[in-house]
Amino acid sequence: MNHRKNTSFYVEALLLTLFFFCMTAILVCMFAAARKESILARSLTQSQQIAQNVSAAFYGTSSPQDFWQAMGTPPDETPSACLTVNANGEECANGEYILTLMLDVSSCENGLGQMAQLSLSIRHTSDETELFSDCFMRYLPQ
Amino acid sequence: MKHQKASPITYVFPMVLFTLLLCCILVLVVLGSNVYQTLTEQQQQNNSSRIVLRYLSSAVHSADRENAVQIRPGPQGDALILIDHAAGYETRIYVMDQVLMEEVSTLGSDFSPQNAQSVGSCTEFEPWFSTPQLLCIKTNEGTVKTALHTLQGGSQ
Repeated sequence: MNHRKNTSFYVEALLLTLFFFCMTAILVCMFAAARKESILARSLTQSQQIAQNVSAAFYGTSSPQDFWQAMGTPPDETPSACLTVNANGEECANGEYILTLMLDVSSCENGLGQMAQLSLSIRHTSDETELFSDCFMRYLPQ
Repeated sequence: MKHQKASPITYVFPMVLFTLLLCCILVLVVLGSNVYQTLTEQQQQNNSSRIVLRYLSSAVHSADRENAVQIRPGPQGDALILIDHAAGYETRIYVMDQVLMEEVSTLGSDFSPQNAQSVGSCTEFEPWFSTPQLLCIKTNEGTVKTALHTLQGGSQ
């Protein structure tokens, strides 16, 4: 009789332990997911700020050369740049984000001025996830 | 009546189980509190940077007229001046005692921080014109760049 009681106690304890471990695993997964989401939210906020600054530099400069200069990249013949930037959008060797810019300038059909199109993409350096991408256009008078 | 002697495992097993569960609960509580602390800190950082940077950006956009955006020396460092020529008053934004202040005053009058309203906490405030149409403002919450529609002749 006593042996039966002990066995049922052990079985119940084992089941309880298993249930508890399952709950622990679920909670740990939830905590990890919450932390990951929080880090992603921070990255999205920062990447949105970087994109806003880049677009402001694009619209606030009068020529492609001025734009590249404002971005801290020496103007050359290549229309694209891949920069490692920090949260402020400043070029930094150990920055958290990779900013890819592609500037395409084409002459208007009527020969008056040019159309500039800037494609922008922001990725995280750690996992290469694309956080933000957009395209901006503006008219450059002659 | 014969009293049966209990084996040591009868006492040891529940104690081990109890300790194990206690350790798990402790780990969960520590982990949960750490995650909660991280979440709230990052949320506060996001909110704080959004408040300051969006406020500056929208204030400049709303005053984006010819010679309406200027930079002048303020009480503590440079101040951003947004001028409404038609109404005859100007809005001054500057940092005073680690607080971002907004002061609305008549054109050309002296700074009067006692009449200013606080916008939020800000330890660094450095505005400059990168080009005549690109205003940059560096704060401790980040840098915000604003493209202006008009050339600003009053930039320093």
